[in-house]
Amino acid sequence: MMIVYHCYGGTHSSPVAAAIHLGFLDPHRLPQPRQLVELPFYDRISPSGYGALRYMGQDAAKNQIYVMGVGYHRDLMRRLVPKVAGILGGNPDHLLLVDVYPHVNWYMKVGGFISRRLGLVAIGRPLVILGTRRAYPKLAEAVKEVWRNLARNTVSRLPEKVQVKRGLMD
Amino acid sequence: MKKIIYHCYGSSHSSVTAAAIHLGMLPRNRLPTSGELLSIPHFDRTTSREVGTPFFMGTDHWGNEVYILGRGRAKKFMKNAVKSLCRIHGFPEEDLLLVDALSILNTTTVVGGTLSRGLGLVSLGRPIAALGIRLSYFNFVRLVEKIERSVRKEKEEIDSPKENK
Repeated sequence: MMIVYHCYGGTHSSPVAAAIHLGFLDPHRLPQPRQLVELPFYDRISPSGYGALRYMGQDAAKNQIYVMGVGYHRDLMRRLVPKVAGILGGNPDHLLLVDVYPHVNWYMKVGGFISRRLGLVAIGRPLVILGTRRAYPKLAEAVKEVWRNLARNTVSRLPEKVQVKRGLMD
Repeated sequence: MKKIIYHCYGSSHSSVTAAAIHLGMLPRNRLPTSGELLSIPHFDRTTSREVGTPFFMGTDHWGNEVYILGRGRAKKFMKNAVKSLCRIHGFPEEDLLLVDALSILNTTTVVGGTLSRGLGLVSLGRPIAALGIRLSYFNFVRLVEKIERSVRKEKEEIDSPKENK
């Protein structure tokens, strides 16, 4: 099974969720700022790299864990990735997309914007770390939900977490 | 064999037209009638909920698979995702051709497409969209012929060393 945690940029909440999934971080203990900064991809992906699936590691059950940034194109990308994977020889049924963007708070959004879009890492990163620590229990809960669903083997029918306002064309 | 994906905004006009020309569903030496355009599968029919879903249009003379894909405003996201999916599934990146068909679209089709697909005014927008495609039709033919040349050239380059052996 391929599990893809996705958020806006794939560089804050999804690497943290993936790290919890892979056991790099303890879901019951708040990580130190240094632990967060040392995570792969954490606050490191620039906007030109959004959309790519990045490999984080393999869990104990041999699931490959990826992170992805989908920007404001969440629904489009959730349709596109499984179908294109099917065309390229993958099995769309072995692909699970987990949206962690609903757990992102304003500290992370503002800090992420300052650090990633404006490039002011010294200002944005502390804000994003503060926000990540505040969002941590929810992210841990989201990962536990994935574990529970994997254990029940009902992953293909995971409920949608949020209703996103639909634009005219997407 | 290659997989060729013509992509545009909503996979209902420009990518459909290009793929149809590629597959021989539309003539290359004359303008198609509006009726011919409208009889092409997916032409002005892809809904906004299908944007992001690639559709298989057919296999060309040389065995290449032709797809259409609407990528909305997420062109960069789509390209990055497709590239990484190629790597993940071990599909050679050079065997996948992403062709942007939106760049040759004219304003008439954009207006017609927005009316028909965006606002749901099909009876008003569809004829305008078809007219817009007909206005720049031969640009599509040129695009497709360019793509076909590049596909065949690569193929010959690959084939000829084998013949020499």
